[in-house]
Amino acid sequence: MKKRMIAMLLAGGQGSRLGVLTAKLAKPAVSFGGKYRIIDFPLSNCVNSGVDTVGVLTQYRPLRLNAHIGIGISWDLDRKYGGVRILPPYEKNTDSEWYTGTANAIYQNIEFMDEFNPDYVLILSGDHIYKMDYEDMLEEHIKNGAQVTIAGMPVPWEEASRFGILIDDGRGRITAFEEKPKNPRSNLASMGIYIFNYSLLKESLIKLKDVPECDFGKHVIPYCFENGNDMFTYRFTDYWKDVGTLSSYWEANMELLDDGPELDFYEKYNVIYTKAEVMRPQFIAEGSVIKNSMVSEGAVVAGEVIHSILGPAVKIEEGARVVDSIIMQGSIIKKGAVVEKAIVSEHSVIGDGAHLGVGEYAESLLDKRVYCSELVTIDENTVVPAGVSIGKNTAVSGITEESDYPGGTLPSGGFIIKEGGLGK
Amino acid sequence: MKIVGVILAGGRSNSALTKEKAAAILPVASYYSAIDFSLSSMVNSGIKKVAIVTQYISRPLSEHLKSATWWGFGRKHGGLFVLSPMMTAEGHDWYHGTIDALADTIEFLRESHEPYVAIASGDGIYSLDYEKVLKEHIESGAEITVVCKKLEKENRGRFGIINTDDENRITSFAEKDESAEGELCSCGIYLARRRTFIELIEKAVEEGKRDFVQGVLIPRTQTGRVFAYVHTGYWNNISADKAYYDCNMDFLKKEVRDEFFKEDDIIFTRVLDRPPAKYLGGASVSNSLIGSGDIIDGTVKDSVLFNGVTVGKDAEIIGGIVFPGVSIAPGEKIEKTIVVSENERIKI
Repeated sequence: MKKRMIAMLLAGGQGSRLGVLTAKLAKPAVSFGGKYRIIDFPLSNCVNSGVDTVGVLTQYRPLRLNAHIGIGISWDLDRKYGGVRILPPYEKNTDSEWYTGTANAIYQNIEFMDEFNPDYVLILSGDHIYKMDYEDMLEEHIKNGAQVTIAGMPVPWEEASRFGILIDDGRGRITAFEEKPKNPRSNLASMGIYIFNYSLLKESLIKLKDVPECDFGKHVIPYCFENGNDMFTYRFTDYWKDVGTLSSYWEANMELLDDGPELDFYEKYNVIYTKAEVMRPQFIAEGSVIKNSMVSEGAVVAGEVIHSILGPAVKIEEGARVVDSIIMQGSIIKKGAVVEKAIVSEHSVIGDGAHLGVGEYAESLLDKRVYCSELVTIDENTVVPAGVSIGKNTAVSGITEESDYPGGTLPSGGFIIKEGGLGK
Repeated sequence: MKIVGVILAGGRSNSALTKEKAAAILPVASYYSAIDFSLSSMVNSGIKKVAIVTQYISRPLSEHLKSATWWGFGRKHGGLFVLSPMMTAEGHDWYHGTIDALADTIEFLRESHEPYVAIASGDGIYSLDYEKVLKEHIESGAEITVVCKKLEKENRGRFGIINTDDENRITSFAEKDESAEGELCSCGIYLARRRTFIELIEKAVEEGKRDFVQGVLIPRTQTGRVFAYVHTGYWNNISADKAYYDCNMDFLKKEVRDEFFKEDDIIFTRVLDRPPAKYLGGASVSNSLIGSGDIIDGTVKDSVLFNGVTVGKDAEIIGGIVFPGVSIAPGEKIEKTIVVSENERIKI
């Protein structure tokens, strides 16, 4: 069955800078905005753009992702022809290997792409929050007579040196690339979203198959460019957010709480779909206070929720106070607990009167690269016992007990990582 | 499974509530449609095959039931069947009574192999275990079992009032008669052997009967074995304004929520792709059910808001019910009112 354009969605990365949030699940499966998961954004963009065939390449901890995507019903991607297909690495007669790089992962699935004999292949990654019309990008690709189109986003000049930078001739034709340049000549950052003419993509992947850790940005794009192919930029100026670090993840969530946020979940078109389970109504008890917050279905609130995001079926008990925090699906904040500037992952319990986010910032004793903000990060299926205090820039994972908190305190910068958890 | 289900969802009431919707599709408790309760009771009792008979404004109902997977139905084994009046070689007509509607299920029932059939109406709000009804039905040797509920006197008027003997055999059945004595009311839920039921309906059609209760059930209480099954859990019927209002308000009571919202027996519904509810700086919400995708910047107290509702700044809703997608303007005050649309309000 021929398809004009299919999408290949790279969802195999761990996202190690999200710390304990991605200890047990791949980054694309991390929850976002209360009821969504990061991968819902590219998947929904696909259906909203008329792309009905999506290969999802998984590798790191794929279980949750598989359960979330299922056969694609939630995105209308359960199709007789096409639809969503999960593509893990597989064993072959010879040369069996994991996906060693982004391009290598696509190379190993040429067979899948051939099945649909596509004219164009859209390469996406599962770690960004944005709404984009890929059909519009394809139209430009065709209009330009391009063989490769790379979506680019203007970023502040002072940040440009963190990105792969695209330099064009002013009419979209790419004239040079610079990977994390010290003195950038342009502020148009590559978003890691590509449309390839399939014939060129296939040829390039086969040519480069022996390159170790073959990567789009490092190998495939330079290869196509050096061989004189027509390559164009697609300028994107709407909301686009990389949520690769704990603080950028937290900020992106908090931005949703603004009045009229840049990323609008409430518009009638370009709906973001997610695996929606049957819940129950959201109940707000007498005496609750909720302001500047988003609360998902099934949540029961009896305490105070200020400038925070609550996932489905979260419980905030009486006298509990949640400020500037993200509480994910199924977690419980017990009576009188105070949670400030924290990310509490799924199905965790914060005990009576516990206080998260006290004191002053201190450098992390666990990993300075990952934990470098004031945030308290609580892993999924974790228990924080009643009455303890947890400082800023901390991480807690597993069923912790009072004895894990000398003097009832986990000081700022500290961590408690225990094996196991509530395991739901 | 031993039981096949039939839900009568064609009804309307005189209320403004059903001007644009059949009673079975009226929104309930911020999250559901009325029919979700009768359907979920069947599903949670293990019933795998259900026919829903529609007539009055059936389109929203078909939309709601578009994907049977929401209720956990299969597509090859059992499933959900939506029946509506149709044109045949013998002519065509709308349903004039419950017998007409039930007559259209005969073919469906003939093709089923389950020995029993459960018949329910789509506008009841309850959670019922049909396994228990069946057990009593078999033990009592009943021909038809009628599910009943004890109601306070002031609530009985709209329902059939039933009297039984010591063994729960129904001795009298007075339909919508305010003067009738007795505290048991019919919930409009019946269980019978499938073959028996087909015969009863065929005979009623032959005799030109129109109403199942008047034409079949009441006569059989005198000549056959009709028994009552007393449902002890919550039950209400939403086809009158006041009852609709009270039923929604009942969900603000902890004991009612606890009865319906258990870990395992969930009430299934069609899940909409709505974002979480958003509370802005002016929000002040207490003792209320809030729908998905609501945006609230005012006061909401002792109220039930359905999905996609917006409450403007300084608006005040106290004891209100707001239908899906309705906007309450900034500064507007609403008290003890069902807001059906921007222009349609029912004061209680």
